Amino acid sequence: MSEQHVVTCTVCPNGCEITVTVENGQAVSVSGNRCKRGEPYAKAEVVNPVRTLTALVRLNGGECAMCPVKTSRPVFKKDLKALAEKALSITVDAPVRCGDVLVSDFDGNGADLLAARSIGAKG
Amino acid sequence: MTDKPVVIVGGGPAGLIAATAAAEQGANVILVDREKHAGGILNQCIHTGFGLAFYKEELTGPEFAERAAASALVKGVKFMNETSVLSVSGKTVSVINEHGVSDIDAGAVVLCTGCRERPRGALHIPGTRPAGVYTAGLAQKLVNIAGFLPGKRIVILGSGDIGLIMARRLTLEGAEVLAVVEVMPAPGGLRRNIVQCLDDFGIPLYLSHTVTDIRGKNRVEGVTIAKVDEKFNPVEGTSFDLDCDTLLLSVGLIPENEIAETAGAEIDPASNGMLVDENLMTTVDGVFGCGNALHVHNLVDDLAVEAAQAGKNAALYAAGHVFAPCTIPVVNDGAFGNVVPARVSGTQPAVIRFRVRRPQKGAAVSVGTFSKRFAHLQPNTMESVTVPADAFTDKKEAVLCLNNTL
Amino acid sequence: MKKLYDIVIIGAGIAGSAIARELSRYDLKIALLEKEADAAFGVSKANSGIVHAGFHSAPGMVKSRLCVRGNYLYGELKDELDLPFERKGELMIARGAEDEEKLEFFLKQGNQLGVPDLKIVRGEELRRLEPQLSDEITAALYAPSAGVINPYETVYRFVQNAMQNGVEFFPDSEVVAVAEGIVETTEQTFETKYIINAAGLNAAKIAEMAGLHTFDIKPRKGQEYLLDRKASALVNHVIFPLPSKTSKGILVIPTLDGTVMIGPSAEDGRDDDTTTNDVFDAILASTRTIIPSITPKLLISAFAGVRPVATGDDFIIGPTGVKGFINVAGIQSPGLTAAPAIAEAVVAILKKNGDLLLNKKSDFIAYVPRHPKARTMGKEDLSRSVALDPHFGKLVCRCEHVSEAEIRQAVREGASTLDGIKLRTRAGMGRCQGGFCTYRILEIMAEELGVPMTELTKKGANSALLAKDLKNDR
Repeated sequence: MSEQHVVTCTVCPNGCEITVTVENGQAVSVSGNRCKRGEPYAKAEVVNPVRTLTALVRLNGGECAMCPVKTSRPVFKKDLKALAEKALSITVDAPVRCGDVLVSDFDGNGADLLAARSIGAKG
Repeated sequence: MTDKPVVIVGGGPAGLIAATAAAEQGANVILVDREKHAGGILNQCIHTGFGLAFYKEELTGPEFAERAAASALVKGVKFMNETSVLSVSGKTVSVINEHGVSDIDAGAVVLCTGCRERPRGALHIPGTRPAGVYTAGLAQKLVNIAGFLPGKRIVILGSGDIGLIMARRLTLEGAEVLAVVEVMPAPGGLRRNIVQCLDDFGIPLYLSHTVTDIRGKNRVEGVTIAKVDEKFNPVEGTSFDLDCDTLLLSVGLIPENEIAETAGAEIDPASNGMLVDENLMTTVDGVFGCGNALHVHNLVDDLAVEAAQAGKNAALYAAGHVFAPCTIPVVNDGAFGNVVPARVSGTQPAVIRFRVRRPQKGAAVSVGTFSKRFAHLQPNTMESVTVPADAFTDKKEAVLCLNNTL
Repeated sequence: MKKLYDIVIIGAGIAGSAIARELSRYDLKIALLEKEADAAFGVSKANSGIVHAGFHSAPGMVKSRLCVRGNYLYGELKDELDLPFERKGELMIARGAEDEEKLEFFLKQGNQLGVPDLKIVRGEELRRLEPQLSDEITAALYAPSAGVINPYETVYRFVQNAMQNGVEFFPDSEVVAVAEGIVETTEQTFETKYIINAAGLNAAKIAEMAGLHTFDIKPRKGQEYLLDRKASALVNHVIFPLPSKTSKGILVIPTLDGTVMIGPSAEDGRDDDTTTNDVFDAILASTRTIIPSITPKLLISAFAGVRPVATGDDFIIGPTGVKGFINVAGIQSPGLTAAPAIAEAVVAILKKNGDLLLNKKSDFIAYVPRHPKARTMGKEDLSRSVALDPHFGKLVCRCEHVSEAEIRQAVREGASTLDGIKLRTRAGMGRCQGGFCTYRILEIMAEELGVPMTELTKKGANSALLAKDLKNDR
């Protein structure tokens, strides 16, 4: 038995409308994507959608109060809120460098939490 | 010809990329920026979606800014941070910082002053004047840079991209976003942002609705929302109240051109952007403009291409290059919201950037003997065509036309 | 705890602050009370900022005489307090013969009151004064002595100078009880020989607390709309239509700050600060019959104010049946103009009573230069200011060119709220309406006041600007 789902791709700003064919709980084919990066996104979107999380952690002694962070790879969409809350409970010491791994395996599925901006120490 | 510097005004993405491009031409480049750290508004845009075309990698705003600043530094751009430009007169740039006021005698100037948000006053939303009414960009700065929630129960008026992005950010940081209200029948922001910022979190979007009243003497206590008709007037009997402590406004961006005005550069009254020719030179000789100060872009990656062109041309100008005179006005046939540039020379290929007024399916955009077909054109999306020199057959004017091909 | 005073002034609006400043010339112990977080936060905040010539009201009324005298006194105050005041002149316009007869009436009335240099202008002369005027306008009564002033800056100058001369200012002090010689606020009790009731919209309420039921105050709301600086090229003078019974009509006002204000409406019985679309449409339509080139695209901000209209429509100034209790009530238009003359009138009342020793201070500070503003300084002055204080080199508000030094100075002078900073410095009043600078202003305020950001407010109690500190709150 096969069914079709239409998803809006959020990988890039094009926002392609992609049709995904699902058979027995497996995404078997996609159409409508303007680039190949749309395929894995659309397949995941109908089975277990994922997103890259961007959030904030607290920064100690830095030029800014907060440091922006992102996950090294997409995390499950259903976990976004809990993971943002978890990020906010973390305090790191300045200085930080963009790309620093602040927490490894942040989501329990292998995504690290990375600093997304270099911020110097205060003063 | 001279070693006078190319002065870049503004350290956002347009300024950084224009500066880099000018330095790559061998120019002595000074970038003047009011902030301590370059990057402009990108530093508060901590979401992803930047750089796919320009850096071939999906980056957050601060990551894009850091890369662009690093390139500029490597190419020898000199940064004058925490410095404001008071005025530009001819090619003399007057600046102020903690050391005093000084004049820079520039070989060429590139204005990369970005844009500002349309405030409450310009919208004329009726009601009281309590604390708790913020533009979305200010809220973004408060949350992402300063680490403060402006409120806990939030309604957003306008579905521009910053508003949508803030709906998600505020939700993730623990606030409750009750609704996004859009007066137009279609969202103002990108489709992907509707999906990943609203749908992902179950935030309702009310299209063809507006805020008709703000309540609360000291702090916002609630807003009234109503459906609007085709003329954007509230429809009687459709209004409902939401109790909230904050109203965010995401209702449009306006090119910021106060410095261009001091230079005497002509401003397009319709878009508030500078009028430029195909080389991105304003009506003032040697003063160039690019980025959101010219017209508000959807994507930093497109803006980067334009900024690089402006920076390169400014360097060429400063080195004594004389551009072919741009005597052919580009005329909008009425179907376009705005069109850049305003004048072309007809001697080289010209990039014409535009937005349509109304959504189009299967339409051709033509200039002279050139024509390009588009499957979809949306008013919220900037598009461009590159028109070859020989297409400008009429030397009196170049009319940009929209033809429905269905 | 009780404190002993000679005079307690209730209300730090234009009237109360002008009185405080005038009385500070004398060797007296004076308290100035304000229920809001800052001076000028009541009626005076939303004033049109016109110093009228004074031909509008009938010679028999109290306000007529005080208006013409007040206009004259602003000439002196401009020098003493370095007040930003400019005699731009007023034009009252007429469309056709019937209207022109009315101009003659106001010309005669003005001459009788002693308004200087009044004349009726027509044709070429009128167009030269005001080139963008509608073709339908045939003549105007021209009053060159009229001017524009910044109303809240004037209040702050009065309060600041009064304080320099020893007046004690108590913001956030709402009066809850009044009796002969006693004023009780939410904070403390004042014992005093004289009480001056300059409480604006609450003047009748204060009088009632003292047991006086001689007048009533009715609110009359006015909505006003602020236009971008670009509009300043379109208008040179304060322009009036012929007045109606309740108001001077919808005006076009070139402000001192280079913007243009249009309005106000006159809505009886309303005391809220809401603005509404129907009133905006009416104001705009009326404005366009005067200056057709004004368009809605120029709008940058809207606000509303309330005028305190006393029974009889005139000012109520004078002693009462309660010993030592003096009313200064019903100070609606032309209250701003009249304020310095009202202060003189209060001194005259005290002199006449004769029970208070009015000795002039030998050390009265009359001349106070304003703190420099980056926006109005030339490059050389600005460079010198930066050398003295590097904070002048940091422009916080880019639209209005307000430096960090000015923001810090405003806090040190008593601004404790975001609106207080805005009214004192203009930061946040420009095209972006604070979108860019609000956060930096809050940072500076928190630093200067030594309070956490979450305690900062827009305009005092219950108007907190930030709901949660993500770094420090759980």
